[in-house]
Amino acid sequence: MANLDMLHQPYWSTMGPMIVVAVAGFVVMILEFVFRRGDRRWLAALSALGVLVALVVAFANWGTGHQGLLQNTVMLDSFSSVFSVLILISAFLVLLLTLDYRGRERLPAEHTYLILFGVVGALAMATATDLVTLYVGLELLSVASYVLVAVRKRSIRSVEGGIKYLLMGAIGSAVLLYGMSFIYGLAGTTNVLQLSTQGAVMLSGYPAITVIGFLFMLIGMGFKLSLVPFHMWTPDVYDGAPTAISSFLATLSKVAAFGMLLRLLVFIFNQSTGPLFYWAGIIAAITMIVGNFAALPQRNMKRLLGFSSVAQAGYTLVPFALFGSSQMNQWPGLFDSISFYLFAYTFMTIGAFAILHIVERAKQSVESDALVGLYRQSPWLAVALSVFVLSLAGMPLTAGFLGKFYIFADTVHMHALWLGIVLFATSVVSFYYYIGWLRKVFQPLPTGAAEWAVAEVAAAAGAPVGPGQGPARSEAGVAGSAADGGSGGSLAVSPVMHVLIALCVIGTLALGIVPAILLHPLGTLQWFY
Amino acid sequence: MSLAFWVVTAPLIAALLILLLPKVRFTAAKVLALLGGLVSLVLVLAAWIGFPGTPSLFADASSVTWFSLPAFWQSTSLTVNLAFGFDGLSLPLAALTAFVVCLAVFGARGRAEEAGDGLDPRVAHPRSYFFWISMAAAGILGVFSALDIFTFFVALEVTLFSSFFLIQLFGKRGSNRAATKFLIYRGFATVAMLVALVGIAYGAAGYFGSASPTAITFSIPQLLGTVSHASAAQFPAYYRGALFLVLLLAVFIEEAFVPFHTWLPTTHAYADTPTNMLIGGLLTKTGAYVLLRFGVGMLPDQVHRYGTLIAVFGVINILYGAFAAWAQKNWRTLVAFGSISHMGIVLLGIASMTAAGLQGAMFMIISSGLLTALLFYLTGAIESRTQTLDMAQLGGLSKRMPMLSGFLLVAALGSLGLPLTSGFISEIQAFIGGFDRFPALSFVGVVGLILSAVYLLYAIQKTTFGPLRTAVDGGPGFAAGGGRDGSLDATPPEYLPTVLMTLFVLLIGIYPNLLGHLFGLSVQGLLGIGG
Amino acid sequence: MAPANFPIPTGSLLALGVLLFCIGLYGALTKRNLIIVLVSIELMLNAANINLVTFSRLGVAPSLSGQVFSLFTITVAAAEIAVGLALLIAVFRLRRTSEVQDLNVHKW
Repeated sequence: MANLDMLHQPYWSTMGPMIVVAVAGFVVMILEFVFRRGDRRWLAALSALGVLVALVVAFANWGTGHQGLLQNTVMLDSFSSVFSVLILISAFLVLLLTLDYRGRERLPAEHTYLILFGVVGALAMATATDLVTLYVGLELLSVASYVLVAVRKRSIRSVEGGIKYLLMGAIGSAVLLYGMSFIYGLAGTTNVLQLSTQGAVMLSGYPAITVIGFLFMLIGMGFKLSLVPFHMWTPDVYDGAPTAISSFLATLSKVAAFGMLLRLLVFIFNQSTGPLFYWAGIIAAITMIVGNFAALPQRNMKRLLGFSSVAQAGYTLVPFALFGSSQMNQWPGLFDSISFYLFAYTFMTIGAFAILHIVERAKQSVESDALVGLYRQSPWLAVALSVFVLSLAGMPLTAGFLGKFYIFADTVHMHALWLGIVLFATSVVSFYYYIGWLRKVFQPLPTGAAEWAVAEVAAAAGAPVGPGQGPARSEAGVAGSAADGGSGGSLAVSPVMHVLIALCVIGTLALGIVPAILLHPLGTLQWFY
Repeated sequence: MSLAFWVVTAPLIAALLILLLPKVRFTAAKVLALLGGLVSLVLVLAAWIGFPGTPSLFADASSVTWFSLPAFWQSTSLTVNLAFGFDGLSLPLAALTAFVVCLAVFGARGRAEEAGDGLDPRVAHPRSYFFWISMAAAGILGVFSALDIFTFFVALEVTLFSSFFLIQLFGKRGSNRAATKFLIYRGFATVAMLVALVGIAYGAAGYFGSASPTAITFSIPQLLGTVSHASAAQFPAYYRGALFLVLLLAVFIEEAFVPFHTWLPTTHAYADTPTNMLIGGLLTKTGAYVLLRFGVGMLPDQVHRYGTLIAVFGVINILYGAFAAWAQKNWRTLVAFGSISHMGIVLLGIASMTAAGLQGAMFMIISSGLLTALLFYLTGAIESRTQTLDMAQLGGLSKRMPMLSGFLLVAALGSLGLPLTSGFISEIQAFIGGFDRFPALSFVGVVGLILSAVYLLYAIQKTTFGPLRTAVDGGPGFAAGGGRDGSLDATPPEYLPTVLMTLFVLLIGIYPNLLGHLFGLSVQGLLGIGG
Repeated sequence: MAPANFPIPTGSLLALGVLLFCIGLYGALTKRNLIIVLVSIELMLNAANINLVTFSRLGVAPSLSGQVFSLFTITVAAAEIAVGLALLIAVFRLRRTSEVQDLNVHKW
């Protein structure tokens, strides 16, 4: 009985990360029901701990060859290891960021286990090798994200962002599912490993339906990855969601979607389907151009990061587009470049969102003018933000540059120089808006607008002494208390945020200065079997 | 680790020390930065003394594997090295850099008293100030001594953002726009340069040709040996031309050539004196270096092919720079446009592709670097006394500051190419090369030389002689900038940079073989003579 | 390809799927009421379900996994629509409207 044999398979090592995170999610959910009162941020800390344990398990699985289980619906291989580690790292960083929400701006405690279940879905997207499992994983992540965006149900921005995300995401998954149904119909199996031998057969037998299947799947994932022209939800949703959730969507959700995209399209359509991938190249080019140009007039920093993440998805899609025109023995380079860029992207994006969160709380604004005077107020935050922004823009000695350089080298190798030129030309455009932030960061505060200094004095003295501030600063004296609307706030940064930002800075710089720490492990991986 | 490696890392170590040591005061930070520069200078001189004297050979080279992009092309990987070394072209440039950096750091000072716009940021944040100066120094040294395309590019970008921060944080009020302009222009140039250089490396390995590709290398010495000999099947002329034009575009922006020059005057107008010395004296010379190293060194056929284009641009720059400088009302922008005019001569010399022309271009790079730095130093010193460099408000400087005005005159004479100064030996050689190949164009270019004499002497006449003006005598800065005995002239610490730089301007003019020997070797290597 | 005893040709079933998908997509992109939009999305998902079930019986290589897939899809769609309705109620509480064009707090 094959089915009984399954029980003896080593789930713990193979599905370890997923199981750990799921268990942590259930435990946190139950505890959330038990402890209804008080400051429940320790639940988030517990979740972060669970993610950390899962990360250890995932690291233990790194490079241990390949192993399929549950009749090959889940696969432990290099691909799933890399993406699981990446997903768990970003989940850990996002959970650290949610720890900083307190006081008035506290998030409902439901968000912790929703994040964890979202992570389970993301891990399923990275490890599953069956259309059904992949789809269920995607939906688990998506449904959790819809709720997370709208988690502040009293805020119209948050709820509107949530419903926009839901509508766009549901249309996307319907399109994806429709494409999948055709592929299933032609091959008669939903298993990706079995499908992988049939791409060429399908294309020669039923070219029209295969092309439709490919394009619908690409478009469906395009909604999740916010590729142009399916990107219009991105700025609205990032703007509406709490900053921690925005960073969750920008990093974890995108990484998982990239993993799924690669698993679906590269593993299925790997032979003699080059022209299909050409469409992906065109979409990548349009995404880079539109993402960067649309970001130019933005003054709202969260919307700008939304457009910037659109552009970054375009950069990452470039190697994907090259799969069609390259030989099998060149694929590891493409996988490596995508993974490296996603690692870099995760650190710099979460770091940028973290600083945005601090500034937003201190100034009650996400307009880029809120950055004015940051350097005078806190040189450390200003320098950290500079590192993230320079990395996003692609300056050398940061992770972002090396990722872009790797992708550029890919394009030259695969004789698609035009994509590489679009990549660098549009990143020059991105200089402009990123540098706009730096300008503001290092600008001195205009005279008469010294609210920060006043608030800082107030916080230091432990008494509400700001001019015209009134007596009712309920939480004054508590370091880092939420600011009262309009009167400015202190820039006090909790130790957790220091740790988070330091981790992101270290990640961004280390990958930029000594990239071998990641490139070497990636280079030794066996991507195929 | 070779000397070249330590030349680059010495300022870097200084920068890190400044950053890491707690509570470093202005003087201590300055001493650290100065030490970093001095160590570099000593090491460069040691490399110079030990230089073997053979053409197209890189001395003191060292190379460390930095990282490799794994499993790239048929399971060979693309290895990127951290490689530094010197040849006859880069050694004098590195020496100039270390020298100017030392003097710039030595001359760096902040206003102690609070002015209307608050505390001087240089005094308020001395660590960050000297950190970025040292980083910029390490970057420029890295650019000149890099032996790997990636290393070169990283060094170039280090100069880019360290100068950006120097302008942004420590420039005059309103330096924000200037810093952004600087970053956008030069950022675009560096990206274009990266595309061109990586393209050349791939082209040398045969990726664009019909022949089967060989292993790719980013090593500059290896590429210098292979690219120019690559066959058409390996590296088609179409790609060579396209890559060369991209490179040329990058160089034109880096060098602030018309019509991409607008970032230079604004930058100089807003940056402080040491930053101006670094940018005007050194950073604008990187473009010419790139054209010599990668253009002439790797794609000489394309330099020949587009020679007329380059020469036309050169002459336009000579004339435009001179006319624009003539129209300036401010000494600082005058110097900026003057250096644009100088770099036009460099272009003309390179375009000629003759031994004299190339050697003249190299001399001009050094000479213009020294003179521009000297002029920025002097004008900075004057401005600290008068609070203005507006020529209408200056006048009779020689009465109040005889020594400073004297040096200003010498620098101006050097800049206009008076015999026995470094300017003369550079111009004469560049124009000998130019007349060889483009007689008509060079003739037009010579008009620019006359113009440069006109605008420089006109400016000198207007400011140093003539009646005393309020800014010089009893102006707002009179009391603040005055020496102890009421004299406004240079203080002893100010003499040192001035005298040293003037000395070298004259030394190169009188005994050009000091550099000519090295440049000659390098030219032989570039043109394939001898060696 | 189709078993002889099955009365409906494969093409007709796929055409039904295409029709449902197109109607759903049209409705999702043009309708103003959020509930109608959600219903339209449900139509798109059901188009995929019809495809899956059709192929599991009449496909190139018929197998059971298509029907399993469609069961999962139905469940997932239910969850999605449930969240959609919850969000709709939240919007309605705050704005007293369920029209798409009233969702306009996010400006360019």
